[in-house]
Amino acid sequence: MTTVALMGNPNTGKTTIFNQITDTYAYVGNWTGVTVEKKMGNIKHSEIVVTDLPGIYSLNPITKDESVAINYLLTDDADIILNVTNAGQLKRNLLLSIELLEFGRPTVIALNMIDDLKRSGIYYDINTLSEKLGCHIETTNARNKDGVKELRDELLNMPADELPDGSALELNYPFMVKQAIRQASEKLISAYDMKPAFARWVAIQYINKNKIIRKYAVKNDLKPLLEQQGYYDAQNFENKIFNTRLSFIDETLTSATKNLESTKNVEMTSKIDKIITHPLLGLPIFILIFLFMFKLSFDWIGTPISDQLDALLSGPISTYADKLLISIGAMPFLRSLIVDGVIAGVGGVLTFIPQIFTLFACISILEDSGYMARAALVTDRIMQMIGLNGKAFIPLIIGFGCNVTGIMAARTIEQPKERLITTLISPFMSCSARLPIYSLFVAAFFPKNQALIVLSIYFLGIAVALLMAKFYQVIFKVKDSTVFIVELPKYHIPRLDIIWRGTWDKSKGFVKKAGTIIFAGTVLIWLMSNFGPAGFVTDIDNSFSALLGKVLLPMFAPIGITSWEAISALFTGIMAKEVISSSMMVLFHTSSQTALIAAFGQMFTPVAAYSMLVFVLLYVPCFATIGTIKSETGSTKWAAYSVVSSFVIAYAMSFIIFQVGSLLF
Amino acid sequence: MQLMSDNVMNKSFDLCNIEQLDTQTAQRLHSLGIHDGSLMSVVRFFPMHGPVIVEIEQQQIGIRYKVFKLLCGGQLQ
Repeated sequence: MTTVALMGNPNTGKTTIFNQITDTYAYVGNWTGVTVEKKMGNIKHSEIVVTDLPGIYSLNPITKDESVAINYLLTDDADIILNVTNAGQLKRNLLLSIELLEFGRPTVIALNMIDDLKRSGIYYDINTLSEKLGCHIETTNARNKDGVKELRDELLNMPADELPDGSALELNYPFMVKQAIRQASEKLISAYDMKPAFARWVAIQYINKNKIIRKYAVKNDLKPLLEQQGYYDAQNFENKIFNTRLSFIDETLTSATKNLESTKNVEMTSKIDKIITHPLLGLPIFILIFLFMFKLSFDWIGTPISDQLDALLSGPISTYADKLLISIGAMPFLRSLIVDGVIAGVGGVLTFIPQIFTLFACISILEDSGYMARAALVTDRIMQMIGLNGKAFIPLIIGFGCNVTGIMAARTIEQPKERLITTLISPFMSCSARLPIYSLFVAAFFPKNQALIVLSIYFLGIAVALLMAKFYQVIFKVKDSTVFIVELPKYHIPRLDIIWRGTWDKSKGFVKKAGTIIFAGTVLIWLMSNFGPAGFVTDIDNSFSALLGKVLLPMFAPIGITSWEAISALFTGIMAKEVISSSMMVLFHTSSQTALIAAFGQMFTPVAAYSMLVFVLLYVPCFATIGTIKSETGSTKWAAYSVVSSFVIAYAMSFIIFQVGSLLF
Repeated sequence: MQLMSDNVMNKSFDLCNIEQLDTQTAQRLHSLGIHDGSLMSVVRFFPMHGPVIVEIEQQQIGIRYKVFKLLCGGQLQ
């Protein structure tokens, strides 16, 4: 089996190419030590496995997601490296290519976005490039699928085992550097049994102050390198290496450049940017775009479809299933489990799929168009006030969809402290799983101001998140951060297939959850509400869930929650927030939202209802989020801290709202 | 607030002082092919000393105002 590692700068179209050359793919987690996502797929009709790795600027990582690539080179033996580059910015893309070519594996460089290059009036002579760099080169324009077939054939026709080692690129580094590399690699080969190309690459990376390689050297006790570290650094070899690489690239590109005749250079990007990144209009436009997104998801498209799904499910489907079960003579026990438990609970959650798909489709469009980088820039000044930078805004926005993906997106933030803060405040962003319960409550208590009430909950979440960030900034003594470099890619007209794939990738987790954890949660709450200390109970007041709820009642009374059903539902909600609403359905033995809304009216005052919504917004993150916090921070302590702190904050906020609200209304 | 106006916009600077930045920022700039002596022109300022959009080596990037000022060296007047 041949393996291909897909590597390159961020935003060069790696994933687009990956999606086009592979047919099956899967996310795989759990990398050595840290959990990070890589994506693997098979090239159509072959045994070749392609691994899509996060984008990197160089092999020396600054952020956590960037360290995946170098760790991959160190631990997994990629047979072929496919280096995807942005042809329009070949100069800096080649800085990474050189590092990869020095690794000595058979390499194919794809000059992607070749059309952008031609439009700028330049073209490169492929043969010259290929000869200078000593590797295969293909030109592609992956968004239009140009050249992708040729690239795939190239990979298929590359017998990995026939290419000998020693084909690594050797630059003409200054004499002192060259000598240092030679001496170190000779010792590494003889004393540590390394392959020549690998030894040379390790030596260069070590001299070049690659953090991961320096750790690798300590771990494997690579004495020839460790002993010379002081000398390498004192001589400033790092800079010498950089300068040699840069002049090699300049020389190569100069000899390969062909100027094309007149070009019609339509600068769409700068025209759009005149408005989008306007110093004063930028922020209002950002808010408008997100408002539009939420309107689309919750008012215009998502909710109407949702309502129809709900009507179908609680009406015909429920009745039909019940009749069918009676006709085949199923026990009342089983009938209740299926109709009141599974159909009501799981079905009730599935009706929110339209909203979630619409929201994720919008986020995918923004990602694909190139707007996200601008959003980071526009919001940077505000984020700076709370000790974060504009890049933290994107994970938080993604958190509106799902806190888990939001926390994972925080990997692109450079400073560990800022990343930790972003991780800790992410759960306060109101994820889509909390929407079902909001929808139920606003329909019951605030029928005239539904959108306004939900919006106020979202903003309360943001406010709490920002306040906590400020608090952490003071506690952790975060200094004014400086690493904030955002590339502004050219705008693309979003492509339907890319949007679809992005939307599906993001929302399939939700669908999967419905079949697993939400299903389990529903069955659990059904069992708890149908069994008590005395066995099967017909009166729900004697069930386990009633007992549990009643024990906790005194604790929840000060925040306005006086029904044990709500407490039991909140309890199961820790499994997944969607389960709160499905639990309610089960506890009230109904699959119709209208019936549930009527039942609520007797249990809550509007103020108590609002207090309950605030509590749902802020209290303990779901299992998946807790797990992600643990894996991303690498500590159980932070996960536990998150659980406790969010519960305390939720209780305090609801307490204030209920007590003050009760006085006022 | 200092007014950054027409005299800076669209003017080119010879970039300098990269080695005076913190190592991470310097490393990232190097990876983008940006080095002392690169030509940098200003595309846009955000208010209240917010980020600055500059064009270097045919690519637009956003950097913090503090970094921008340092990279300009004494040329910013």
